[in-house]
Amino acid sequence: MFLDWLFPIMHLPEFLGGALVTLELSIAAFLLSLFLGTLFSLVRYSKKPRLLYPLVTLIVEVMRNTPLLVQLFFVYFGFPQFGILLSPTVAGLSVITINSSAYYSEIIRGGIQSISKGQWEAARSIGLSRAQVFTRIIFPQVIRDVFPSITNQLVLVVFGTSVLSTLDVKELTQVASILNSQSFRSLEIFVFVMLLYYGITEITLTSSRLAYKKWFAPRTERR
Amino acid sequence: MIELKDVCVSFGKLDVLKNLNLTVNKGDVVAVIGPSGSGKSTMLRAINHLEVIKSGSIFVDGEQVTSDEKKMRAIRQKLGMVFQLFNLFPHLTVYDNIALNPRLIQKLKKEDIDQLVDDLLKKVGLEEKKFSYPPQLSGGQMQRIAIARALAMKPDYMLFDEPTSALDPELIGEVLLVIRKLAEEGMTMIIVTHEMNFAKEIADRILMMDDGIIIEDGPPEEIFTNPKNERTKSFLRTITEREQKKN
Amino acid sequence: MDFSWLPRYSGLITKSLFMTLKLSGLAIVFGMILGVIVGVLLTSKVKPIKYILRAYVELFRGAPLLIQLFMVFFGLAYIHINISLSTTVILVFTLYTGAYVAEITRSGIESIPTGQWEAAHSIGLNYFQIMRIVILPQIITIALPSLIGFFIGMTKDTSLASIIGYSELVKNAQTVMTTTSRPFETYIVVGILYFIICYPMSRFVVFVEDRIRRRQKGIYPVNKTMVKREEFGSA
Repeated sequence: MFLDWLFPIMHLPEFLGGALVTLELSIAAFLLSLFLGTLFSLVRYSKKPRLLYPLVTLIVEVMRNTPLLVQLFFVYFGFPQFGILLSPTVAGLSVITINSSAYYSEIIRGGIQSISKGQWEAARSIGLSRAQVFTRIIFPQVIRDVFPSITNQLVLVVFGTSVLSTLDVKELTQVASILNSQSFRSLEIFVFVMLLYYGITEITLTSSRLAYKKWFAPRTERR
Repeated sequence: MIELKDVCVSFGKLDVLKNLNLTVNKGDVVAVIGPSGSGKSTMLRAINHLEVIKSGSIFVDGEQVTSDEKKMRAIRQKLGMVFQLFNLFPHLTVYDNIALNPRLIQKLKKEDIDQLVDDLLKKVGLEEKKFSYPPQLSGGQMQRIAIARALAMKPDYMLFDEPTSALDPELIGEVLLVIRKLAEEGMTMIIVTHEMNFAKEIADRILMMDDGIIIEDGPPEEIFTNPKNERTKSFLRTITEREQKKN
Repeated sequence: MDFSWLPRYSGLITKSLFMTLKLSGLAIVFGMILGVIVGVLLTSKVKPIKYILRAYVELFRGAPLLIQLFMVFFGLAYIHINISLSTTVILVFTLYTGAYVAEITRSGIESIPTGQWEAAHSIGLNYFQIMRIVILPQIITIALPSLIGFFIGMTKDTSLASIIGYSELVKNAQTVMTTTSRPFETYIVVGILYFIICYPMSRFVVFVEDRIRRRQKGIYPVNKTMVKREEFGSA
């Protein structure tokens, strides 16, 4: 029962390969869902267009109140019933994207609502159009305010990719599972992978902190 | 008697109190004035061990102020402290705020606690607020309750750390009234304050502090009309100029 | 779409729903106890305790739940510790919940202004009295939205236990799906069940946040130089 801690290191290339897939999926899902989430948040905030609002609200509430795994199985196993066949990667990426958009929608909507009315009034009073007020005055402040929440959700997206292992998408968790079933060196493998994920999380949080300092902090804090 | 002997306090590299010596006798009403950063609040907080002393010693009635929690609790029972930001417990009623020490430390019986709270609320003029919560009160009311809470310990000394600095001007008077009453009743107190007229009126001793040391110590008539130290003179001048401009 | 199979499987579905709720319930109860204790200890000044507990919290918050499940499930068997699947799953979810609750508790405690501590010390209270009477009651209101939000997430996360074979809702749904050949309808039903559990809790969080926002005006005297900032790394 001896523990071979060299084992994970000897398989470093495979783990890094899996981590790369994880990162690719995460970044793609992050960017897409941030964009989609912003669109959703606009609909949710302004409650217009009249026809889209109930639909978007339905999507948001369903995605936020059902498990990711169920959403995944629903798309991957359920859609073929009606002839829609998707590859695991496409199904997985789409589900994570829409799921994450729902969360970004609420994060950004909350941010918009917390901007004081005075900002809107002052901006209009200096002649800006509604669109200009939003893009130049309101939205930049919203991003600054909800930046930490956006980062946290990104970390959750990374964790979400691990669920894709159930569909045999070769991201980090699946690589670990496969290695485990081949060699059964479970403890070493999963502790190593856990540390790898922890490293990814830390890098994400730290870069986010630095990005915030560089882009926003100088204009926020009193000297 | 409160004694400070060669007390030094530093925050990192900054020396906030430099070899401070002070004796306060029972019955003294001492007002501490001086510019911001002179160390007035730090000195007061050090007496209650809310600031750690780098060197020197502080004695309250012969007992040394120390980091030992148990010994400090006995000393603190004699020191009633009133903070600039009131620090009432917002989730407890006024009654509970005041009754905490009598109930848990002095372990008094319920009837005695009820009597004590009623007497103290009468003293600060807020009987009707007995079951209100701090967020429902004005600043002046909160500070008066804070004074009642400190008095509930039946302390020998009262320490006031800029009690009116966080209050809107029209609410300052009601708090000063309570403090004056306490002074007239003979309570030994050290008040760090910016209210010069008030200090002149009730204190029998004024301490002027600057840059971590006490630069003058004397009765109000002396300090206010005939200060010996240059820095005291210029400090008082700026204060009176501001007061005049306000009027 | 055909839901005619539903009555036949309603017993199985109800039982598995119950298993899901049992798992989240136990994880919440044990996790809260563990988390509050760890959270309080994280604010202590004893360095070794702080570092060890900090490592625990960081690890269980910094990696996906699925990996944690795999690690404990396969890892324990590997070092010849044999415990039942149920116990394993409850253990992992408890540790997972504990880490998040610890972080919520810790940041709640540290958000109480030092003035509260100073006033409490100045009226002679000791550490335990201060925690019990002054600090913890105040953080309950502050922490409630985050806590409930986490519980909602955790209830959904119990679905991951199906991957290592635990017999909760999603695992049994797979059985239903293969025997009825109707995955689409099956997962709609499963989704609706989760929705019925989670949606009311989500609305409750909104309600609590509203109440807090209205009450928050004027609780502590405001130091005018304070700048309000959200915290990083508090997923």
